[in-house]
Amino acid sequence: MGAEPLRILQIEDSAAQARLLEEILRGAMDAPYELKWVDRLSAGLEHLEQSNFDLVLLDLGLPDSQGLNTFERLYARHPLSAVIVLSGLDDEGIALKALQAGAQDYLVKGQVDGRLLVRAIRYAVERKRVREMLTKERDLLEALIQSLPDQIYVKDAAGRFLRANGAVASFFNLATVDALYGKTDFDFFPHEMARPFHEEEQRIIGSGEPVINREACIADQSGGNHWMLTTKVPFRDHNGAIIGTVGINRDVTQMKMAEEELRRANTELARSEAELQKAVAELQKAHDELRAAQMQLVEVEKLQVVGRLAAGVAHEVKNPLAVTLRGIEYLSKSMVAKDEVVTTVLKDMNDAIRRADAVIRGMLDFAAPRQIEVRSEDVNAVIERALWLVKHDLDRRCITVNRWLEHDLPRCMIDLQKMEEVFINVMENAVHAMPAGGSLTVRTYARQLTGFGTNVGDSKVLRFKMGATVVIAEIEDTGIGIPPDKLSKIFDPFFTTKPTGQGTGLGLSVCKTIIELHGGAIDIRNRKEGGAQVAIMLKAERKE
Amino acid sequence: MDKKRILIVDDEPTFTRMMQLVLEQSGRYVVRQENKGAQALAAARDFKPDLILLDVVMPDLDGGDVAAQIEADPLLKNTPIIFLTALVDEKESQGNAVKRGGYPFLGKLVSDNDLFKCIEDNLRQ
Repeated sequence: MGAEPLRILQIEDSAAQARLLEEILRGAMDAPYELKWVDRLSAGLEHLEQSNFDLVLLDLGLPDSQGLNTFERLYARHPLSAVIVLSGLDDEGIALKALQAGAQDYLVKGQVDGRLLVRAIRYAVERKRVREMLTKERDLLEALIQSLPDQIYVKDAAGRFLRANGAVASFFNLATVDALYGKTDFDFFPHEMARPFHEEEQRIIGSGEPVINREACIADQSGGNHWMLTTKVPFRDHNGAIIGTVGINRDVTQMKMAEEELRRANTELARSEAELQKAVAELQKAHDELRAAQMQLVEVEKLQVVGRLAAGVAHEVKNPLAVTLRGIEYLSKSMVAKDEVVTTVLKDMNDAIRRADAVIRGMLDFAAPRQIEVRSEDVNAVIERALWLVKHDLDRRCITVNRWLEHDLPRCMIDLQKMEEVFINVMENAVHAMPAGGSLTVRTYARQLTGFGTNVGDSKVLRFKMGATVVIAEIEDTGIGIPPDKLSKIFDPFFTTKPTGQGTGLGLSVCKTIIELHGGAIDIRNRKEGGAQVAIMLKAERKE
Repeated sequence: MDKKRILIVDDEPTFTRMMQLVLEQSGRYVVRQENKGAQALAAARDFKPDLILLDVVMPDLDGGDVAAQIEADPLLKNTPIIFLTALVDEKESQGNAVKRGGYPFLGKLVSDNDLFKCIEDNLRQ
């Protein structure tokens, strides 16, 4: 305030009184001031509306207002004004009422000297400042409490609400906080819910120990559940005595839901990860299996090539050896005179042929399908496995597979691995015959033979007994078929219809050998509809 | 004692010739050679053998087909057939013919003793 002059408004209907007061002030005020005089309450109110005054000197008896009413009208409009009532009436009753109503002082005209007036003015102005400051503090605090989204409340020792903010009122569905005051939790919550709150507050009051961040789920008036984080501390008076509790509730429902969501997401993530790991493991397994299958195919192919080569060479070499052997035997027996040298020569020749035969045998033993180890097997299962092994080739050429595999097919005594080779070989031939895709039909069925001729074709190296049950597997393709002039050579070693480099010409001859070792038969023919059909006939296992 | 009649069918003339020499040398058999599978049936009908030695792999008509024709002929159907093949050897047969699909199979490098034994066994049946 320092240099600012003190602004005083005097509302006084008597000009003489006004002048007197001005005289008194001029003589007594040691600080600068401005004095404004009006003679009616209405004019005074008007001035107060328009500008700030530090102090109002008010006469109660005015032309437009009389008595205590004059003060009350002014104070109602300007509650922050510092007002000193200057009255002609020396009435203790009115004076007291005026002070109770908010007046800073009550002075009786004629009894006022300069010193008294100045002191009264100084005190009034000072009190006004203090009150203004307190009011500001209170408003700030109130604004703070009211604007916080958390529920803030003060309760007395009996648990009655003394103060609360709007968040508490809206939680209880109340229009104003005033409706809370004097009430307890028992007025808003069911008894069994209110009781633990009350007991908790009583413990705090009794022990002075606060409750910090207690989490609980609380139902509001409309039945909605809220997760609340509650802190309650003792409420003490200025002597430090506990007279109640102060509490703050924070609604953490959203946070809890987010946490829950996060937890769920984490669980989901963990599960997804586990599934991913499982999928990767399965993929790895499939890859390993595929690789093993590929290796097996390569191995089969290698063995087949060597085996077929051996078989071809054996056949071509054994015939001349046989001729020579028979010749030697003939010569040995026809020698009339037993010439020792000739006998030795013939024996050496015989031995040489045996050695050559042994070499060929060794070569055949290396890989040729000469010996089979038969066991009771399900031909359908062998076919399924072969299909699985050539699946990659079938898929690559977009070849669809039709299966017509008879249920309850009789089992056959076969060498699993060798027959698997046969089916792989036949299926791969079919794949090669369908470079642009097509369909592969695999059919199995059992037949009881009623005559020598069967649909297994003309190759009857081996005879099936009449009435015997045979298992027939047919593999059909929709490919290019076999040129009719080549059909008779199809089982010859080194014969191939495939372009150079794609076939060794040994596959079917080996297949035929394997099947014949099983006492079965194989036949190939062109289908009327196009493509080729391979029929394989195997003896069914005899049921004992 | 009448000599038994043996028809040998093989596409290798030197082999059939040697076989004929060896078999007839024993004094027990009369042998006829045939080097074409397709003419084997006609030769059999003409020669009326007591036993047929039949090669498996032949270029025109293989041994299996020849056997089927013999089976189908009313006069020849009971004639025993022994298959001779380069793909069966002594080790496997251990001197005895390997039975496949009801037929005996002999390796072409079979010893004289085993050859004669097999022929005699089948002639007796």
